[in-house]
Amino acid sequence: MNARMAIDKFKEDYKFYGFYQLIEWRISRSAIDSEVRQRPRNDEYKILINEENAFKPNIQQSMEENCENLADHLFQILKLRINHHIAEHGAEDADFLPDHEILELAMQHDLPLFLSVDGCYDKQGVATSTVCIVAPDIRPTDDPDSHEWQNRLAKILPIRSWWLPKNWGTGASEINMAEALAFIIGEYTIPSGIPIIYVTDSNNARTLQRNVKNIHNFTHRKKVRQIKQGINYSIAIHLEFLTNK
Amino acid sequence: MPVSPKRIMYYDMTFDEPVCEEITYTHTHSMDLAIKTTARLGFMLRDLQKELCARFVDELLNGDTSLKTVGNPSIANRSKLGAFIGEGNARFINYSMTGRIYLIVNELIEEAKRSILILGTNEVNDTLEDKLSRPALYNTTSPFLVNSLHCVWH
Repeated sequence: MNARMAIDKFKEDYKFYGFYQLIEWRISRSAIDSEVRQRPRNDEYKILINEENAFKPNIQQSMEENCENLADHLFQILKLRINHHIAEHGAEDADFLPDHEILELAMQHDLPLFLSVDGCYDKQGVATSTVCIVAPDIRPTDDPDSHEWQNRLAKILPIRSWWLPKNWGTGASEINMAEALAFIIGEYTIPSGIPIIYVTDSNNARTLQRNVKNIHNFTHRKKVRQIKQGINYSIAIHLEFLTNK
Repeated sequence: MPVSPKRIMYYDMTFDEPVCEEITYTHTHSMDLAIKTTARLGFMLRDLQKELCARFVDELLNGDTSLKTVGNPSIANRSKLGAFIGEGNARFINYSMTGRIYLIVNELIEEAKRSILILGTNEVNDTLEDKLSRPALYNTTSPFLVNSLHCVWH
């Protein structure tokens, strides 16, 4: 009975903290040139990580091995592929942009990729992480020195969103966790080597991201007692692993 | 978390130059002390190399209703529990990574692994799960038969 429960919890933990039920929305080809304000509908979202492709840990392996395998698994599912020419949503959704077109649109003017990350509570009070890649609306007709594009709404290309589990470890999930997890989803989404500008309104998540990026500058004591305990230890370690990968 | 290396220098006759140096990562005494100190207060140090074992022990610990952390409001009689400020509840050590129950569960899992060693990797994972989830293994090995905790298994 206890063994069964331990194994079930083992699997459930890796499933839920492996972004189970993460959903995605993508812009359609027809909407790229539209000037109508974008309003994604609920039925346009697709579940990216479901029961079938959720990560399943190996109960014989160490926590480190399982966590590394989880990260590799998530990279395979979430990373946008530069050479991916088939619509991710399948033939029936060919109108939606494939990975490489999203990346091309996002960086078409030799700009870094703008990644907007945010955490919030939904109407039921569940903490939610959301990541969007946004492209500035720069048009071929614009004068090279003009700044007209700054007055236009940027185009949202994909949105990825995840409801956090109600409880995280021994405590309840809260908005700072969602903010930091949005950075983690962003790290999984963007291929390595692409310059990114993160757009965030969270001072806590930004500071955590910046600190784990330069983690070697701190003493061990400060790392353990301040930086990693700030929002949540497991989230900080996850972000550190991804930013230094 | 990285473990700091321990350097041992060996001298012969004089203390001018060490004849050799040895760098090890074994901190037996300090780790033992850390486990005992934290475990008494209800903090469990986990062996992350054996996550299944740690989780299994957690379930047993959760089912042990007589264990109460220091300061638990439901402690009716502190002397009965043996929990007092500065030492805590020594029974927690049983569930920590060098504790008796932890070692028994660890050996039980190893025994289950040994018995299915001849199978392929994927099969081993499923079979191990199956073996640990059924009573046959516990009936044949009777890991806690000699003490009152055997009732936790059923």
